[in-house]
Amino acid sequence: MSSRKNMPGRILVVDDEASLRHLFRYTLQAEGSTVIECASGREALERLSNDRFDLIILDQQLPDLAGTQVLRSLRSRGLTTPVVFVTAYGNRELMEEANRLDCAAFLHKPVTPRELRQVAASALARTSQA
Amino acid sequence: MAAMLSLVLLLTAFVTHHQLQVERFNREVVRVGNLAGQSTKGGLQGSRQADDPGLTELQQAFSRRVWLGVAFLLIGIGLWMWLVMRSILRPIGNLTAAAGTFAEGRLDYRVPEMRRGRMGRLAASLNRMAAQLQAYRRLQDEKIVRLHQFMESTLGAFPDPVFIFNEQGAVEMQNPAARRWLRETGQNGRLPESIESLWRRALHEGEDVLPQGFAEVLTCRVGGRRQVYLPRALRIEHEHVVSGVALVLHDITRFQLLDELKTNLIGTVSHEIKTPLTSVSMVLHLLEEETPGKLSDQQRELVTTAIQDTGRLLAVTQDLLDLSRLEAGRAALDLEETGIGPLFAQASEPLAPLIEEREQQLRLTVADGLPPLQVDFARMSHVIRNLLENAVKYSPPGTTIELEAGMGPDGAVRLSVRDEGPGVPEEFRDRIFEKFFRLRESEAPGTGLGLSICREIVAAHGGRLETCNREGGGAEFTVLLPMRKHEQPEEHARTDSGGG
Repeated sequence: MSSRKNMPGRILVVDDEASLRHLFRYTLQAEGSTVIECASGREALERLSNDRFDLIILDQQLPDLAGTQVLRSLRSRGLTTPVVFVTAYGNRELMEEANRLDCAAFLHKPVTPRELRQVAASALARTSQA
Repeated sequence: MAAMLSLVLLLTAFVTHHQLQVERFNREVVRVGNLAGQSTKGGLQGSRQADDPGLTELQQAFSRRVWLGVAFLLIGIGLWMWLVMRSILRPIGNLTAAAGTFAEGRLDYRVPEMRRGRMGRLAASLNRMAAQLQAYRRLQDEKIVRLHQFMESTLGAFPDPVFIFNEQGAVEMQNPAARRWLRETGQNGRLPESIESLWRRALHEGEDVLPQGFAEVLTCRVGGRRQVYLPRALRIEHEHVVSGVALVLHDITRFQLLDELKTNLIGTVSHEIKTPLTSVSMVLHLLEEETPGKLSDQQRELVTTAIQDTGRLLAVTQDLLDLSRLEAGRAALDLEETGIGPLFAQASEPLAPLIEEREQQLRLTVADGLPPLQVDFARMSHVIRNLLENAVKYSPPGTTIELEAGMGPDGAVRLSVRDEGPGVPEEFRDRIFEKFFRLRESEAPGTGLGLSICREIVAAHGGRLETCNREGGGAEFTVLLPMRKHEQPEEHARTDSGGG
């Protein structure tokens, strides 16, 4: 199966685990996206204030801030970028909160490349529609 | 001797009487002789008169002697009676006094020895009896002392506090550990209310108080440390008469700490394993998709195998994580009200294809009038699905699996899964819920944690998960859910670090 290169766009991947970040980047780049990696919530917020992104893949467990905190911060700045939330353990409370903050989709670890592609694609599609 | 005296006197009387008779006879003979010798009137009168004074004197003497004899006789009899009675009454009196002394408990007294004879034998018997009673009592006293020493040593060596209450609630005995505990819990020697209520319960509720769960533990600060105890109150009764309550405070602090540690360890380790495993899984999938480049057939086969095994590893890790969270009480239940229908539907739908493939039948029965359930929908449907899955996998093709909801004992709701498979061997009835316990390795692959998790979930709801074998073959797994308001399991004062 060759890569399709049909998912252009700038994607920010926020996860403190290097290997996972690399794999997400690898998978998404194979689809034609430009992927920037961040290891912490603060780093992500900084990047987001300087650059424009079409999609954010955000892990809940970050060393400094919780994913939901980053999301809240984003939204309060008025950024409407779609966010895909990645959790290791999904509980209803967390998901409800993320939904309230306008989260586009959820990914539950372990994530397969196919899932990542599908979710990212549909989230990006929302952007282009908006 | 008195008898002798009396006899002598009597004899004297007889002899006198005899003498009298003889004299009389003599006098008569003389008179008759006189009469025969004298045929004149003068002689007759004269002789009679000449006889009278002597006769009267003798008669008087006789009377005197008779009266004296009688008197002596009477005195003799009296004396004799007195002596006889003394020989009977005195011993009786002694024996009565002795019995009285024994009754007062003074068993060291002895009846003074008596002459041989019945009284003597009685006295000897009483003395023997007293001696035996004394020996017996000494033996009993020794036994009691020994028993008491034994109990004191045992309780002294016992590390947990033990209190013995009498039926009024006063502390009759406490072991050294109890004394230390009282000192360190700093209640000025008075027992905390939680302890008092326990012995009262045991006394008035007619049953021993033997709590089992962590919910009924006693937590106190002892010497600045937090200690956890499992109290046990046992009634001391004999033939339905309660004479007290024995209270033991079983120190489970270490046990609870270890349990928490173990749970945390499992949770931590599982998380640490899961993280890199997720990456590996993703890498393998990427390889399989040939995103980095094409694979030879052999390479693809290897990658597929690796993906399957990684999948298994991930499943185990996930189950362990779930279990540790449930056990730690950190997995707070998302309770919501639901009808049994939707719950059963959610549980059974994913299995429909498998059931059809195995040509099995699923029969659903929901009794009328059942109340809606307050459960964590996702978790409880997971439980039912797990039980159904086991039923499907362990039953031969073509059999029927029953899923039923009805009323259980004490107003609880009963959810049962019944199959027509081989059932669960008796000896494994409880073990089957243990972590990693597998009945048959070969049959159905799995992590061996499924039933442990199910049991934990049901327990978190305040219910019970049990299994038994059906008459006629097959297994039955029953979830009993109490209908009263469920209390959350004890949350541990620790921030959630195990997951995200």
